[in-house]
Amino acid sequence: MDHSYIVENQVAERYLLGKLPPDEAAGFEEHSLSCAECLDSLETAETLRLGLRQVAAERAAEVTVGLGLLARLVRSRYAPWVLSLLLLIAVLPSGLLLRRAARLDGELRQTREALARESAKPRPPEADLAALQGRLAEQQRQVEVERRERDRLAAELERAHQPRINLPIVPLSPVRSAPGAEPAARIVLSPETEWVIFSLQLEDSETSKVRALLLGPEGQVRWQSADLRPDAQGTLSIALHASQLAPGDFSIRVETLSPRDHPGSAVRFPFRVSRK
Amino acid sequence: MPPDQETEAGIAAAIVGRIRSGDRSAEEEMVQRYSRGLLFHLRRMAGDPALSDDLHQETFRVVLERLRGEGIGEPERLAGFILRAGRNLFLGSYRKRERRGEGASLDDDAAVEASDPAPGQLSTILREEEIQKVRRLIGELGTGRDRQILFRFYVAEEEKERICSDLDLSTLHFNRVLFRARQRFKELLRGSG
Repeated sequence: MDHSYIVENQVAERYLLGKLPPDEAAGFEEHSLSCAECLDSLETAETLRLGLRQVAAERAAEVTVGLGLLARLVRSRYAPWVLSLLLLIAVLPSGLLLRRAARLDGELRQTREALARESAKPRPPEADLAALQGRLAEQQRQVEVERRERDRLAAELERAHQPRINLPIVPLSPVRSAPGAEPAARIVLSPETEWVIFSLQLEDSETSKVRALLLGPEGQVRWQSADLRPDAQGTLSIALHASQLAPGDFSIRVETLSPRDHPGSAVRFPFRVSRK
Repeated sequence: MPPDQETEAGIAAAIVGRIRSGDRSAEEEMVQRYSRGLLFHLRRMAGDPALSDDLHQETFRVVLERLRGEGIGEPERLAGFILRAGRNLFLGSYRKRERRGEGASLDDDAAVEASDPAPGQLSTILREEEIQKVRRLIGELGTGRDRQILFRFYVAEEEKERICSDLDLSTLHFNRVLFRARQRFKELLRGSG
């Protein structure tokens, strides 16, 4: 038989405990009859097994004896003292536990009260809530409108920054005739026209500073700007957006300004606008 | 050195042959070779040291008669023959006691397995010394877990796999604990501890 196998697999112990298969048990038994090493293992294991059983039995007996002693004491004349002592031993930890339980109870009650106070706080009525929701919706709508307007303006700005091709340029000459006469200059604006450039030829090329006013069909000022300076050839170029030019008779009045900005001479540039 | 199977078979066959041929020294050699083992197994079977000693002597008498006379079928398995002879004698004695109303009624296998009866006076004294050594061994064990291993394996007779699983032990660790305990207990029994 392989002794390392016997040792590693506790064959001796398993034989003693009746846990070996019958064939293996019979083989080991026969082998052990003349094998001093296996007999040593068997004898040691058997003594250890019986000894451990004995010790385990003693420990079990100690517990039983303890219980028996207690039973005898209870039956004896010292029973009241014994019971009092046992009661004290039993009650002392219980008292401590009860005290702790009471403290925890108090903490629980305080927590519950705090929660109840929190729950009792007035809450916004339904109507207020609906109003708040309405205001919120309105604000959201305004934000959306503003966003769209911002987008539109951004797009317009983007468009304004684009180069303009074939802008209509309208050269105008001053007219000294009285207001009310039919304008000689006529402008026909197509729907695609956005801007119109008016090139105003001033009589005094040395005019340093002028004020220009756009007068509508009823003579009302549609636009004006001071502190304008004509170019070296005495031409003042003004670009007007087509939206300012509804069909009708318009005129641009240009006033020369003195060094102290007092109005001086004035000239008119009438023109008639029509749409395609 | 422990004998391997072939050596044991060869030795056994030679002893049987020499006894058959009237060699008295072979008879002594046989008794010396198998005496201790036979006594161990008889004590386990009978549980009574005095009865075991009687059975021990009776077994060798029966075996020698057989070897001197007709011989045995498998001389190389002399150990097995001796063991069977011892078991048969034990069963015979058990049946006699049963007939006299001294023992409980059991079948043969149960009778062989029922083997830890009340010890005699001598064995009680020996056991007390041994129990002291078991207590010392338990006290010397490093951890409560090692104590648990011993009690669960030897007393509760739990399976090794279950103990390992419960205590989260490897088989190697389990084997080591058992091996060390056994070795230490052997030292204590020899009185060297």
